[in-house]
Amino acid sequence: MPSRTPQLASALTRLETRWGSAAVRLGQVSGSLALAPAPAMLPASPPVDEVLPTGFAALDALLGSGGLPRGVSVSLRGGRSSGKTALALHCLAQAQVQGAIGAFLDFGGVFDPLEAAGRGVDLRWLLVLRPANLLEGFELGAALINGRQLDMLVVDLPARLTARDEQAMRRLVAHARRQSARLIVLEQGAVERSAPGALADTLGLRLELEQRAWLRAGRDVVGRRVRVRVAKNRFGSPGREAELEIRYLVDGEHGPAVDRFAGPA
Amino acid sequence: MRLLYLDWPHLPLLIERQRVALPELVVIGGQPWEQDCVLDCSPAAADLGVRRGQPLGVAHRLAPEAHFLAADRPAYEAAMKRALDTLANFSPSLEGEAGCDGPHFGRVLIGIEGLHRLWGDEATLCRRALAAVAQLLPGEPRAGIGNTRFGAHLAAVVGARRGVAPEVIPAGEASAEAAYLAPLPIGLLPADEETQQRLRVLGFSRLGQFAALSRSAVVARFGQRGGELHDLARGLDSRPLRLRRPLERLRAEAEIEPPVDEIEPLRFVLRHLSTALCAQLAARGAGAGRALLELELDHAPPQRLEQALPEPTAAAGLIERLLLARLTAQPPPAAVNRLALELTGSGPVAGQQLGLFSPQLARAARLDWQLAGLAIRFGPDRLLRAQIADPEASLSEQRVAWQRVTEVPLRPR
Repeated sequence: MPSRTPQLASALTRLETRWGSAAVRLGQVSGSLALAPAPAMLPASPPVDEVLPTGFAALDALLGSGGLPRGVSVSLRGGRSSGKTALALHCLAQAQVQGAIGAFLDFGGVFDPLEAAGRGVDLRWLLVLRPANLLEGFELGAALINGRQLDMLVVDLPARLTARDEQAMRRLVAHARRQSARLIVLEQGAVERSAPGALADTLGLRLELEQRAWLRAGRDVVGRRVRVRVAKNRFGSPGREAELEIRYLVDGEHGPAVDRFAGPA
Repeated sequence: MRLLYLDWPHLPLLIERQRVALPELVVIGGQPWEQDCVLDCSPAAADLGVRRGQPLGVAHRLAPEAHFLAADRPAYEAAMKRALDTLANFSPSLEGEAGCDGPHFGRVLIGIEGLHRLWGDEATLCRRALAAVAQLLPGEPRAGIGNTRFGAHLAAVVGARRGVAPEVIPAGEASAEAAYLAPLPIGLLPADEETQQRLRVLGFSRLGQFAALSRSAVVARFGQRGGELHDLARGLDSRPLRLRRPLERLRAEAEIEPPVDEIEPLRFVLRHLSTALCAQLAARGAGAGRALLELELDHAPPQRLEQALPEPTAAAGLIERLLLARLTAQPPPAAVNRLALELTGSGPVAGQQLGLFSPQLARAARLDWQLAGLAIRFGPDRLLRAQIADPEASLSEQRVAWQRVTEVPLRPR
C-alpha cells in the first residue's frame, strides 16, 4: 500500500470525525469493496484508567477499549424494554464506584430511584433533573457539565425531537466532550428502523439494543436477553454484536442495595 | 474572676406545673409506648429511680403510676432563651444553654467581676437579675457567687439548703474558696460512683480532707481525673466560661447616585459590600449562612431578596455570584438608589471535607454552590435528589422522598 501523505491522513481524520470510523474504508484491491475499516486510521485506545467498565464483561470486550472512554458520548438506542436504562444505570453505578458524581436528565419523569438503587447506583451522589421542557433540560445539563463537578450525565430523550432540540442536544454533546464528561443518551426507537437518530454524527459510540428473548426460571420471567450491536465506535471496530442477560430485580435482590439508602441521610 | 451561678432545677417540670395542676409523680418526655427518653421528672419519680435520658418504657416500669407528659420543647426553649437574653443585659460574660436536651439546661453562669459601679454590689446585682427573670421563668433558682465555676455551683447548692440566695464565697485567692469548700461533704465532688466509693472507703468525708493530700499522691492513686478533682477541692478550677454568642448580623449599605437600572453597576457595588463584610467575618473565623439584599428603588417600593447560602462562608466572591444570580433572575423593576447587604446566621466557616472513602465528598461543597446558582436560574423544583423512604410501602409515591438540592445539600452537615 502506498504511504499516506499528511494531507490524505488529515482529510481521512476529518471524515472519520465527521461521519464515524466506519465511514472510510480502504480497498485492498483496486475495484473491490473492502469490508474492514482501516486499522491504522483508528485512534489509539484511551488509557486504562480513563475507561469505565459497563458492568457487562461481554460488552466491555466488544468495545475494544475495555469500556466507555472518558469524554466520549454514548448513544443507547433501542425500543421499549430493550435494556437501555438498565445498562445506563449499570454504567452510572460503575462510575460512582470510581468517585463520579452523576445526574439523570429525566424528561419524562419516569426515573425510578428504587430501580437505580437496586442496580447499584448511590443515590447520595445522583442528581435528578426534571426540566419544564427539552430546551431548558439541555441548558441545565450544559450548565452542570460546564461547572466541571459532574462526571456523568444520562439523558433520557423522548421519541421525537424537533430540529431545534437536536441542535441543543448537539451543543450538549460538544460541552461534554470539551469538559471530558461522560454523556449517555438513551434514544427511543426500534433498531430495525433505518433512521440514524438525532445524534448519529456527533456521538463517539453508538450501541443498538434489541430484546431477543425472555429469561425464565420455571414459569417466572426473571429477565431478558438483549442483543447489543456496536453501530459506531471511535475506539474499536463497529459492527460487532454481543448478547447480554439483564435480570429484573426481584424483592429479595432489591433489599440489600436499597437498605444502604433507606432512612434519613 | 467572680461568677454568679443560677440554677433552675427541673425547669420543664416547673413550666408544666405553672400551666396545669399535676400530681406528685410526673415524668416528662412522652407516653410510655413512645420511642423517646425522659426529659425531666419530679423529685418523687427520681426517688423511684427515674432518670433524665432514660427510655420512657424503663421509666414506666420504675414508676407505673406516674403521670406521663409529652415534652413541649419549643416552649421550654423559648422561655430559657428569653431569660438568657434578659440576663445578657447585665453582663456580656454569659454562659447558658437554651436547648432543653442539653445536660446544662436551666443553668446560667454570669461573669460579674467589675460590675459593681453599674449594678451595685454582688448581692444587689444578683437580686436585680433574679427580679428581671422572675416573670420569665417559674420557681426560685438556686444562686451562688464564687471565684470559680465549681465554687459558685457549690455555693448555690449550699445556699439552697440554707434558704439563702445568693450564697456568697468571699472574693480572694484560691485558698479563700478552699477554706469555704473544706467543710462540705465529699459527695459534692463531680466524681463517678466508683471514685466516690473509693474516697469513702479511704475515710474521706469532707472536701478539706481530700484537698489536704498532695496532688501527686492523688494522681498516683486516682489518675488524671483524680488530679482534676483535687484541684476543684483546692479552689482551682481553670475551666473558662463558654460564652453564649448571639447571632452576628453584619450590614453594609451604599448610596447609588445617580440611580441605576442595570445589573452591571449593581454588581460593582455588591462586590464592594460583600468584600467588606466578608473581611469582618473572616477576621472572626466565622462565615455567614444567609444573605439579605435590600434594594431601595426610585419611585417604587423597596425590594428584599433573601438567599440561603449552601454552607457558612466568608468568601465574598461566592456570595456575590449567588446574589447576582438572584438579581438576574429577579431584576429590580425600577432604578436602584440604595443597596444594602446584610449577612446573618453566622457560624464557624465550613472546612474542606476530604473524601477518603467517598471521593465525591471533596467536590460536594463546590457542586452545592453551583446547584444553588442553578436553582435560582431554573427554579428549585428542577434539581432534585431521591431518598428511599420506605421500600416496602404499598403506594409507590410513599417509597421514595424527593428533595430539592437546595434544601438537602450534597455535602453532609
